[in-house]
Amino acid sequence: MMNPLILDIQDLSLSFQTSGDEVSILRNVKLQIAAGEIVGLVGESGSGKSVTALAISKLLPEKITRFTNGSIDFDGVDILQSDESAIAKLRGKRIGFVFQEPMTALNPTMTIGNQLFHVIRRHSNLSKSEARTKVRKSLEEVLISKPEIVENQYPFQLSGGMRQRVVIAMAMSANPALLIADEPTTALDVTVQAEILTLIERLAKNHGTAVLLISHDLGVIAKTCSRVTVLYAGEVVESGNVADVLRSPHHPYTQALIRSLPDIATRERSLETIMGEFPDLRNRPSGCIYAPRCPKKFEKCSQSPTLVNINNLYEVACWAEQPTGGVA
Amino acid sequence: MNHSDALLSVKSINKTFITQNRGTRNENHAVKSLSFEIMRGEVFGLVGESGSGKSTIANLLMNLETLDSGEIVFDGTAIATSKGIPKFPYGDIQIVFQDPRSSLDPRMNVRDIIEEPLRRVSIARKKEFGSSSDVLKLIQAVGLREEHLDRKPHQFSGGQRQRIAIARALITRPKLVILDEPTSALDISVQAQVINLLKTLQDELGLTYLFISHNMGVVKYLCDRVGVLYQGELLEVETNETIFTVPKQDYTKKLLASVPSMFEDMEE
Repeated sequence: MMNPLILDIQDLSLSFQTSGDEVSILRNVKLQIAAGEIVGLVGESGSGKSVTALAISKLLPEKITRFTNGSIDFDGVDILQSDESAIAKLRGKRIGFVFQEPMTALNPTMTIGNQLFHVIRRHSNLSKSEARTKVRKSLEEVLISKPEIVENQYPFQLSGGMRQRVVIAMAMSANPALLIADEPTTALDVTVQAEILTLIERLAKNHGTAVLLISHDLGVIAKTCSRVTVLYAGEVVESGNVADVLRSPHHPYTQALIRSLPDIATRERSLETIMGEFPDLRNRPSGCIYAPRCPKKFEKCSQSPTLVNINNLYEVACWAEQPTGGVA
Repeated sequence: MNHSDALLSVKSINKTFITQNRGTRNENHAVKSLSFEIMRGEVFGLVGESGSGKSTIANLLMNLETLDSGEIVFDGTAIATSKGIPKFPYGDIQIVFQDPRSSLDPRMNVRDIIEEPLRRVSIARKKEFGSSSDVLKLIQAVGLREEHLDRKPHQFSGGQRQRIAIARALITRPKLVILDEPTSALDISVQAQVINLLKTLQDELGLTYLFISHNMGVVKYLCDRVGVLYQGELLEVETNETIFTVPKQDYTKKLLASVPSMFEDMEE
């Protein structure tokens, strides 16, 4: 990694307290993103992808969330030690968000131009007329061909792809250091998805923005990201360069997941299924979280494996992958 | 396969939806003189993006919408024309919807859910179809157990609920099963289980599927022939092999090029 780290999450553990129970949601999550880099976070529903994203700007419900371990360093700011007012200043300005459903991210009763105008005024010292100019520029940047028309339109008048462009324009208008894109193309058609992903790539490159791209679609990750972290039941099972992780995954979960997905580039193989079911986080099995479903499990797996660097920033949490038997 | 093997023939069907909004009349030509055939025992895929008419076609086939013009012939008999509704072959065509959370009645137990289609068919025809004793066989065939029959939908995971929806579709021993995005609402590790189940059931029961999906990977895996829809028109119908290797239409090429692959698009 040549560029400075923008986001550095180390050993992050958090739990939710619900009616007496304490449910461990994330366990020792590690995630680093450098400026200009797009890092993918993949996992199934319930794996903790969105919780990780929300934790970065402390958007989790305060009453029930307990941070039990680790740290989140965002561009020199210790997030977990900062108070709400300090974090509020980062949201939308230094950390931009793009969520799955653009219709719910936009105000249905305001024109696109006015919404952008307010966002820009809030996060900058621009005068009204300067902000108006910036609205136009922001829309041009996300390749909206007729910004003067779109400015005066309401969200319902735009297609899903156009709405998501507007949301991206909004998130990027304050030139954030980190853009968190949580399933940004899941609600869109594939041809539109391709355009939006290209746009995110271009913006990250031009502005040196660090991007956290959350997706359950490994194809999307392959197309867009340089590195990927795989989450399973709130734990990082594997992390490395996208090409390494997808072509020669080390963790049995990632291996099975890739073999279970029908892909447009291949056909002559049968789909593997992962036996068993996703663990109930309220009764988290002791030892390796994947062991109950793992075909390779052995005695050692009754203890929790830690993430071990196997080569070139490639990390995996699996006893079978640790030649020393886990003394690392 | 020759033409006499066609189980379903869709002959230049049209459907336009008209909406009125403060005096402005909007016409949405959802299906435009569309024709295709589905052969016995094949898996026919219909792909397209939102608004291409995929679900309208499913609704027309299930008699949930009426045709403006054209004809649908099923197993030698016209089942839908623009002039009134001929007798619909209840039970012979069944459908599995996308989201089992909304397609299963939360107040019914699984046994009643699976049996319900049988109550819809006349007593005279009941013998041709399954009977209550088939419920047990089916629940096992879809990978669930007898004790599950007395539970309610909310006690199951998404993948299990879709298995229940599949069992319900199969209780009438249908000739054609319409699968409308059957795995789109499921988690990625569960998707493979349901796809494999559909494939096994098709082989064992000799079923014919109309598989509607926007997921090209799944279509490539499952379908024998594929039709590409764009804004209500069927652009091309080809074998699986042809459509994924030498598509003819520009739109099909663009659609296929847009699908990100785990193995081809890698950033190095």
